[in-house]
Amino acid sequence: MSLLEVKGISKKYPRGDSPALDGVSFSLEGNRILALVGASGSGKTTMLRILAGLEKPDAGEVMLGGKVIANCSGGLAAEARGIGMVFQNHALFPHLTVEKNVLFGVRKMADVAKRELLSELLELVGLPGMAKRFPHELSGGERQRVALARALAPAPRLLLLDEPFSSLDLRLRQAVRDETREILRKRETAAVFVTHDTEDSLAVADRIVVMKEGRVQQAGAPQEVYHAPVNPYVASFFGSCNFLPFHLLGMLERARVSCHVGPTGMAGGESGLWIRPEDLMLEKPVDGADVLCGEVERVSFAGNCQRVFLKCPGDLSVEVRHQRGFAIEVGQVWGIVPVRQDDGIRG
Amino acid sequence: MEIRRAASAELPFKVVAVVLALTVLVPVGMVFLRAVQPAGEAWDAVVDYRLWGYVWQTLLLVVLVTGIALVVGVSTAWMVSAYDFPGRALLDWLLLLPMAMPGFIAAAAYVDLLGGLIPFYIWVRQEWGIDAFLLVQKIVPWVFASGILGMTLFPYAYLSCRAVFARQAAGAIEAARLLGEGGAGVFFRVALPMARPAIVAGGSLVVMETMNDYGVVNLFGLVPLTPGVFRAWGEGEIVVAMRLALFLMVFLAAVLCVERWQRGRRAFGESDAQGRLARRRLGWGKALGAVGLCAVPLVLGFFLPVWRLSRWCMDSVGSSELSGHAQAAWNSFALAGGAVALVLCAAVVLVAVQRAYGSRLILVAQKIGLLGYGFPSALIAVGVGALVVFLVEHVPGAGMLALSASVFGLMLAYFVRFLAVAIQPLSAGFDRVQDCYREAARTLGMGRLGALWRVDLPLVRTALLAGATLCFVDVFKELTLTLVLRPFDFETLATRIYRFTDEGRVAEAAVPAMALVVLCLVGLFPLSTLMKRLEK
Repeated sequence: MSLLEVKGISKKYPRGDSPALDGVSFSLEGNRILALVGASGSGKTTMLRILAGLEKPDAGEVMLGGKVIANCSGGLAAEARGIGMVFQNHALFPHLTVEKNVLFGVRKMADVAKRELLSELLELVGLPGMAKRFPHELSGGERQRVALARALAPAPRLLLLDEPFSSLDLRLRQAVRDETREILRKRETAAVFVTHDTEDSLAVADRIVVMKEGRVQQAGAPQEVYHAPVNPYVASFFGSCNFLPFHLLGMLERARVSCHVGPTGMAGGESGLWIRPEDLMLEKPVDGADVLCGEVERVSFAGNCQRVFLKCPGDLSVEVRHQRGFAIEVGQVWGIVPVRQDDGIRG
Repeated sequence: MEIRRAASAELPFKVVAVVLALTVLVPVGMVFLRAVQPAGEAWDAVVDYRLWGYVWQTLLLVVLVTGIALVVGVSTAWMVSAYDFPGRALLDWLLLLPMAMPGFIAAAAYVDLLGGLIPFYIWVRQEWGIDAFLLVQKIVPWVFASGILGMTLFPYAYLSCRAVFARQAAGAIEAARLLGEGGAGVFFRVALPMARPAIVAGGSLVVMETMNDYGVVNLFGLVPLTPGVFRAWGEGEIVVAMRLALFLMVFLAAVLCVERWQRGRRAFGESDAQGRLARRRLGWGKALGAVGLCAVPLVLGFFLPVWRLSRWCMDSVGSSELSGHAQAAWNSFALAGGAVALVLCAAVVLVAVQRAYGSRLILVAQKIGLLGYGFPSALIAVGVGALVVFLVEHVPGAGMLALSASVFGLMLAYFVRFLAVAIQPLSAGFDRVQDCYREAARTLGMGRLGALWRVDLPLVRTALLAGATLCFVDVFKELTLTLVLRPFDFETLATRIYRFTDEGRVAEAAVPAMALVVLCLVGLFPLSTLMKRLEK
């Protein structure tokens, strides 16, 4: 049975025009990490606050460990749920030291045990010896870690993280992200975190729930939502994606390769396939071969690859991530073919 | 099930909040109840012979005092915000000092000068005749009373305008300077119009304080509405006193409505300019003029009274009145301490518990609690007084406890009048504390009240302390309410100072007066820090 079960949650704010949440359902196994992703206004933070007990849903219910903790009549009070939360701005109590912050939620425990727990947690988050500092004496990354330690201290059944990495700069962010994932693994704590950063969610989560305007668009493993998005929104949310109409795809099909192609989608009334730039590659165009060709419009260097933007017949723009050695120049004409799955092995 | 438990935990607070809100309305309710009763000939007599006098005296006093306070407050605020001159930083701070000088104490320091004017009167009579002599004799008390009130109340206008000149209007003022407008042009064409809402806000506080004043006007023999209410009350014409008090309230309500209306408009005009106005350096001549402009009200409103009082203090060393002073001081401390405890507890329920539960009912109660500050002192005094009389007459055994009944009345009156003084800083303090701290505490297993106790209240402790200090000082120096409602033969420092002054024994009042001024200076600290924060 799942640890967390969210069934048909709806919520409308008095002043909002449309519902913040509209029949949201998903579930989470124990010890796993789930990411709620979506643009701002997608309802992901509202969902998190309902899980925490800081908001009340209008309809639906939330079950934790088989018991209803939230429904339209309110449910269990926030403090009685055994759910921890890491806030976006960390919300460390400014008037308390790191030690008092971390142990804030720990009660009914002998002083010795508290001290042990404190040193264990500070060790875990890599801040030994910081117990007597005040929050304003810490750096952004350190605050994030203290916030994590504080939320973990009462040994919650479920940990919620609200945009936990958004206040950190890019380099710190990657390090803290990997650390957080490691820490949650070690403590065997299930977690739900909210982010608008797709990279964060792909890197950390075991399961991703993509939301848009209060509805779940897709729920699945990171590979699934990335490589097999169920609709154009999800496809483009996780990075650039090419839309290739079927009448052009005739040529692709003849290549008889399996590639990760997205679902059929409608763009401008035409049906076609969604395909990621890294699933396409460039080939020398051969006369007579039925291959989709395009003229190079723009090339930008992205370190590990070159992003090549081509203009194809029918005013179609296609992006290809080109990783081979040969040079690409603006104005050249190239054939666009899908990457064969065994290409990497054959070298 | 859980949600029901939360609701039932909230219920007692809701009940308390409603009771607190109703308590604030008790004096007004009492006044209304009694005012509609038949008053008979006494009312007719007052209408025929006195009412017009009360009204014109009130109007004239308000116009004079507000005029003086605004001219002084706005011009000094402009000087210290727009120009730089030697001593500017010091004067910027010193100009708050007159706030620590209660009007009746300043009046005590000046009232003996009336006697010194006798040669002047004689000269007028010899030179200009009997009519001029009578006229001058009528005018002089007005000059003194309005001057003293104006010089002690101008910091209200100074404070509200300074923030506008230095911050909000900074961008516009600099733009005007770049467009080639000179000093006076900038002031009249840009700064003054932009400061209008602040002038109205500061001015309405001055109007309120003027209408509530009893000590100053009484010492100089003027009879506007507030002393009129107490005169009727003293004569036993309860219904007449009630009707006059209602009159006063209508007056004040009109002023507050104007202020509200202006504040509503300010929301549009407010710019969130980050910069501070760059001050222009003045040459020696002009700098001297600026220092003089700021120093004159400061000397008249603070330093001269302090200097005279401290000289009398020296003279009265070893006076036999000292033990009486000590007793009165103790009474003041006890009353102020009790009132602060009461007011602070109520403010915590109305502000802090409101935040913890997000209750709308308690928010409404809080708004009602704020109303008390807008009620005229005279109305609160006679409303509570009538309640005490009613209790003594109708509750068996209360007559025996007349003393405790009137102490209860005093507490009630202080509570109604000064609840807002504690609510405002506390509410401002909570505005600065983000919700996430409370929410974090709750996800860590704290109940609503636990989170309040361990997180919110420690975070707003400076605001709590500021509210307590302001409230303490306000009760300590409160004259009008105490004078009417105090038990028989019971004196506080304020009433003792007033009585001595009234009896012409000003020198003997110097020691308690100086003590009171020093205490009021303490009250300036939280006020000035609060103002600084509001400015940000």
